[in-house]
Amino acid sequence: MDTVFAQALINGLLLGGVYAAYSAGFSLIFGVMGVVNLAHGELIMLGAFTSYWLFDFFNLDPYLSAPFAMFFLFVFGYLVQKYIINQVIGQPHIMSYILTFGLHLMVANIAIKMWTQDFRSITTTYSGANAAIWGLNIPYARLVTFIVALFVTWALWFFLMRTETGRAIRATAQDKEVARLMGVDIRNIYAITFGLGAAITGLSGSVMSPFVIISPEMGLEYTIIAFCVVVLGGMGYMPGALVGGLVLGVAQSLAATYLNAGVSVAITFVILFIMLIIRPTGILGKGSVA
Amino acid sequence: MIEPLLKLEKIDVAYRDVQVLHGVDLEVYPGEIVTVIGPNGAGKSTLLSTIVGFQVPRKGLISFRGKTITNIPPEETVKLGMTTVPEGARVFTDMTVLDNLKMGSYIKSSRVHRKESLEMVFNFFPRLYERMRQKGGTLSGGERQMLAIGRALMSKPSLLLLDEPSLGLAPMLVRKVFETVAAIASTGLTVLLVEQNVHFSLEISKRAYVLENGRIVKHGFSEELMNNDYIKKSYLAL
Repeated sequence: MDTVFAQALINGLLLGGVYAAYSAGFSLIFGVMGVVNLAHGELIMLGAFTSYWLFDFFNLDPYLSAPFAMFFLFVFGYLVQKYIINQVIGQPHIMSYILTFGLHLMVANIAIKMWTQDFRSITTTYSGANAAIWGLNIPYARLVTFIVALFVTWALWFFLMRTETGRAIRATAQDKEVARLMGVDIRNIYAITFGLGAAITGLSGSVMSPFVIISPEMGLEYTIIAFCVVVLGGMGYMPGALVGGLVLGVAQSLAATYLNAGVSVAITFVILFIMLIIRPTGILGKGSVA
Repeated sequence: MIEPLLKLEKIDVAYRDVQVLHGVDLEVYPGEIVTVIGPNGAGKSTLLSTIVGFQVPRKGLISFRGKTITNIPPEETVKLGMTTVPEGARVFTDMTVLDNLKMGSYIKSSRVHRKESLEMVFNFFPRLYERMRQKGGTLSGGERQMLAIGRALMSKPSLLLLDEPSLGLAPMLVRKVFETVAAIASTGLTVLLVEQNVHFSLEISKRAYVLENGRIVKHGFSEELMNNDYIKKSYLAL
């Protein structure tokens, strides 16, 4: 295996890990509530800003501020679902698109008012650092994000499979009427689910903050990528975000290496297009088709 | 005098402009099996979903154990001690049999008794024990119905509401399901059964109501209704 290919593969896997980290929450929210959250990127933005300000004021390392971002985003997500998105549950899907798109605009614009449109970044000692192994470069910060993605996928799976609330979330996702008959307060379950999705998304924004550009308008492109990742992996199928993220990351990286960097973005949509036609249930075929 | 466990007084239910139930009166006393029979579209399922709280009646009063529950949603009525086996069983197909049963004891008051309840359900349905780790979706129709009944028992209800448990089952299984319901009731559980299978449901129940076009047209002891000319002609094809 030549070095160029190996490096492209590693870059792809690490990029894919980043994609997976910030797409898992999108998949969770869609899987349980059928809500395509168009304000998803704003959750990443808020997570990244939480780390940015804690770094700026207290010089707190982003990895140490990640729990704060998670907590803050959980509360934010819980309240957004409880008081806003729950109003349109049970109505046609278009309502949730419009509502979450409105949320995207509101959150982004309030952030612009508060923090201006400036591009910001967090420069830590490890921001640009690489580990060099056998002549291959492995950026530390991305490696950590990759590990976080694996951990988040595992933790989410564990939570859904092994806890009382997780079981209620799965039951609600499958048949909300019967879940209610079992005594599940589905509005509360929805709020917890959105809070959870927001928390892991905020966590990803936080661990990404050492190597991405942070600005109030950063969200939309992440929403688009998350959507692609989740369609690739299978809508609503939890481990799908990991699979979809890795596949997309590797595809983009190989395209950037052997074709050119501009093509790598186009590749995303070509893959998405092909997938929607030949395999709308995702690579593993376990997603749902609305 | 014994107070009824469940009491419906002059219930009117409508979906938008279409009135489905007209002045329905119904009582269920502790320990009885009561059945509501009637043709398709008579409003039987609506009746059950109104009792558990999916529908709010336009008029009338529903009380359970002396407490008014007319406006109480399903996630709350289950906490008061009534549990539903929905039409078509509706087990959680992507969840294991065990997880399905655990969902049945989601409410806090029954969660603490989960272990004993599981034992009891597995005693009733050894088949469910064998298939504990299987997904609900892999079960046969009869097994699903048993799982749905088992799941309902997990909440330790005082009133069990059954919506067409024999629907879509093979004749041999239909008999089995009714025998099971009778066996469960003999443990002291009160049952309200909604059925199209008039023959079996009259056989296992103590009293019955006949619902036609949203109105109770007849009610009385099942034994008497079984010999009633109208019932014989319209429902038993005798």
